[in-house]
Amino acid sequence: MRINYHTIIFSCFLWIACEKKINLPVPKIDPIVVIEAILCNKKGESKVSLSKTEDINNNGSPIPIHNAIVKISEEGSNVVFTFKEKNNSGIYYCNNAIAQINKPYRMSVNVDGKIYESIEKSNTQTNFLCAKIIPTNPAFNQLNNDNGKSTVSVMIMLNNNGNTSSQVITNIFHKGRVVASNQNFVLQPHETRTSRVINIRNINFQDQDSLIVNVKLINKEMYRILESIRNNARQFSATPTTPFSNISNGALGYFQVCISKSDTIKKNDNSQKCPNL
Amino acid sequence: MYYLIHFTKVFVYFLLISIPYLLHSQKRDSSILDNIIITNQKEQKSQQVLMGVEKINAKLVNKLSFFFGERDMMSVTALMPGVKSESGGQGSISIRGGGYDQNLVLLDGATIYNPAHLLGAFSVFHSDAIKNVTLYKGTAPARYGGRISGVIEAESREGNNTSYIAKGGLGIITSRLSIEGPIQKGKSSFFLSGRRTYADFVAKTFSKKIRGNELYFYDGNAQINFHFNEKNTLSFIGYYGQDRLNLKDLFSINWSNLVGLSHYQHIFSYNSVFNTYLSFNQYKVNLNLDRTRTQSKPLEISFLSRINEFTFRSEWEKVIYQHKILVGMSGLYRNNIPGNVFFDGVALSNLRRNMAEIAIYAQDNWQIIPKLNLQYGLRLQSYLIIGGNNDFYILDKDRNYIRTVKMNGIVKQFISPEPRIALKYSFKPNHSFKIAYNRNSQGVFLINNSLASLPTDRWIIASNNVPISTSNIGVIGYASNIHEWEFSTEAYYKFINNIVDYKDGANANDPIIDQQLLIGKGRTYGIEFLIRKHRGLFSGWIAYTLARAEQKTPGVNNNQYYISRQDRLHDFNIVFITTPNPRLTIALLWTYQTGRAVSLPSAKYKLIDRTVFLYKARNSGRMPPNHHLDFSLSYKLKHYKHLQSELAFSIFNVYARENPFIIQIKEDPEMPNKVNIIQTSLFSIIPSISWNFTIF
Repeated sequence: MRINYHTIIFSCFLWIACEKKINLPVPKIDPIVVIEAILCNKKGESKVSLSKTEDINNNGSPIPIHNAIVKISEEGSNVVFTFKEKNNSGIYYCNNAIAQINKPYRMSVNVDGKIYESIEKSNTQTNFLCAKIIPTNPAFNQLNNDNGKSTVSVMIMLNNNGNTSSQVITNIFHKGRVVASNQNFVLQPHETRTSRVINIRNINFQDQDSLIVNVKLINKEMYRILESIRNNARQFSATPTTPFSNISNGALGYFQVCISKSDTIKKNDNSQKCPNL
Repeated sequence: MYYLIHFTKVFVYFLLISIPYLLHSQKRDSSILDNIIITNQKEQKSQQVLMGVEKINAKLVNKLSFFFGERDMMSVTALMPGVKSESGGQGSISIRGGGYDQNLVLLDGATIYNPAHLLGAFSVFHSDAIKNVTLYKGTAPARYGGRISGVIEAESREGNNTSYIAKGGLGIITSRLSIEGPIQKGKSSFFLSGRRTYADFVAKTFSKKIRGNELYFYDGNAQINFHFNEKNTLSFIGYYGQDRLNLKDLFSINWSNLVGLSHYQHIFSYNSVFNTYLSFNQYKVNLNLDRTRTQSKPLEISFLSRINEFTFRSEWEKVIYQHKILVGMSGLYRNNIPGNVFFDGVALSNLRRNMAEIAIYAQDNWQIIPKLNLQYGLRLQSYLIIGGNNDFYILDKDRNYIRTVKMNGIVKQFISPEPRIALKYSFKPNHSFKIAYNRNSQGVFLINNSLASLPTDRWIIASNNVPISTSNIGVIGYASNIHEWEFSTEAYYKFINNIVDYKDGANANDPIIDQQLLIGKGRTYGIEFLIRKHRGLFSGWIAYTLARAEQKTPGVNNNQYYISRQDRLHDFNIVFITTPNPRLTIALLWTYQTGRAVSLPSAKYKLIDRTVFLYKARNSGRMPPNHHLDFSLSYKLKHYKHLQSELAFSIFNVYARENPFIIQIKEDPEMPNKVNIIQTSLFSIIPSISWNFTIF
């Protein structure tokens, strides 16, 4: 459970503060290749996005990289997935790319003759037990929502069977749109059955709507990378740092091999698949 | 432990050898007058042996009440060369490039861990309760230890032991009242003082929306003195201050300082004094958050951070011929909860740490010849990390967590011999050259949760993973006093070992905080100038500091030195005070500081549908500079029998400069691919009026 109490406290002092946009000189660098590659155990979830860094004063979308050669191969076998770019978007897909449990994979991206590589291994099966929508603290609804939207609190129940900690990442979808992404947490060895609550703010959620909760188990290094991405984007961070990368040759981004499990949940769902704690 | 025992033996031998000599010499040194007992004697800077010492008294502070009319001792301390406040406030003070946690802030000898109220807008030291503040910028007497940068010691006001006096002030957002008088005339006295802000009362009156919400602080000082006879004095001193912030039904936070102290003084003779102090102090942060409620079961989340200290100090000062000798010992027991989270009262993390600090010290201030003074001494400081069956973390060589173990007994011990020497040569009357060296150490550190200093920053103590910090500072300087004018300049170089900083991409909320920290080195250097006029129609000072603060941490910034958070290249203060007639005092202050070092991004890119930033180097950018002009005017009103009063009018930040408190990189809400640098400023122009009174 994370508590961004310092963010809350600081926000409370802002009643005596004022904000304004300023211009400060920032150091410039040449564009760097950014790779976001995911190989999952479900069809259609695997993709590789290629782009370049841009000046922070640019207002446009990220610059996509076209005509790259993108391959993911299973180490120690001759299984190779070749990814092709779709619609000149800089996003490369391979329909039959599926990750197997406990297998290592090598990603190779060739951009203008320069090769960027990474080797990753999937972890064991996810320990996701169930999810359910729970009542939200009314104060959250009062403070954090605009235009009649509300906060929805989702409790997910997890299980850690091993003797070591497990790293979990959760994404929640509503009507095909990601409403909560990159919710990372670590299950400690003693947490044989535990729950985490994710508050989705500013959501236009009706009683008949459903949410899809997708839980992925990732390895420790991948968790560290995702944490660094999250800390980078967080306001008031004590040490703003470039997110870590597990890709060679100076590329930014990550190559993730994951095993995921999904559950569809509704409000007031009385099926007892997720018991009270 | 062997070294500690060995040094204790040496110390005892030293005492055994010196005591007969000291006692015998009492009969012989009657020609020497010293200021041991006459504590209020003013000493010109050119006559002080120690360097980097500034004394701020209440009389001066009363003329410089710029911020809401508050008579704040720390705000004036921060106007001295080499002293910088983080954001123009009074709370987080950096001395000679040191961290905000590297200063020992003392109230009559007891530690105050957070001397700030309301994000540093006010400090805990106001001039109705505090007689004076002494600042040591790194070369302090041997009695002080446990911090590597500076010492700020506030001395409480004693009660008047002959008549009753009430003092107070009514201001726009804060008021204060103090009462003092004799318990038994001429023999014992009391002093009570209280202060509270009431901005929340005023706001509630005008707005229904914020009813039930709170934002205020209060504090109180108390002192009782017993003068049993000419030779024996006993004092009891107390302080309690609390800040409260409460948002109805959402969360509440309060943080508090508590001090209780007793001081016994025995005067053997006019040149021999014995002092004993016994104190307890506590700093506590408590946060409650009703994060999630189910219909049947409310889930309460709370956060507790606390540090308790019990301290004993005993020392003896004695003048023998041209020597002023100080010997003493101190012991401290510290219990720390760095930051535990509770769910419905059940601890999610239950980390506790215990530490003992034991020190023995001796010092001699020797006038070798009339022109040459030498002050030398040694403090032997020992830090013992006590297990107490608490959890300790085992980390690998990359400082990644491996496992938790329970430990008992002494887990780790650090011993720090801290020599100090200061030499003053007065080549002409009122002109002197000085040179000094000090070594200091520290076993307690403040870990910032965010890029601003907030009360939720966590104090941690040295452990099996975090060693003590040590610093070595060398200073050279010149001081002169000509009539009412004073000029001084000092250049310093400080090297710090084992400075704590975050790893790249650290998670500041990690309960196993040890694995997020790295141990590095630091260095600070600079030159300070002070020109001051003490008396006359116009008085005041100009202070300028040119300084640098850097650190080097393995794994950060390609192992190269980078600028520290508290680095300010230029720091400039002008204070101007005039008293055109006995009733009217006008003061002006202009202050300028180079902006704070921050990490600014060089490029942006997208990952997981978020805009993330590429940072080329840590702290490679700068916030805009911080400067403001302040004005204060006080006018003494006509006396009425037993009432003296004055009206104080002030304007803080006359030209409404929006000084940066923090800056953030934020996505533009209207253009998702655009990012803006957003500056948050706290205090713009603040006019204020207050009425101060004395009833006697």
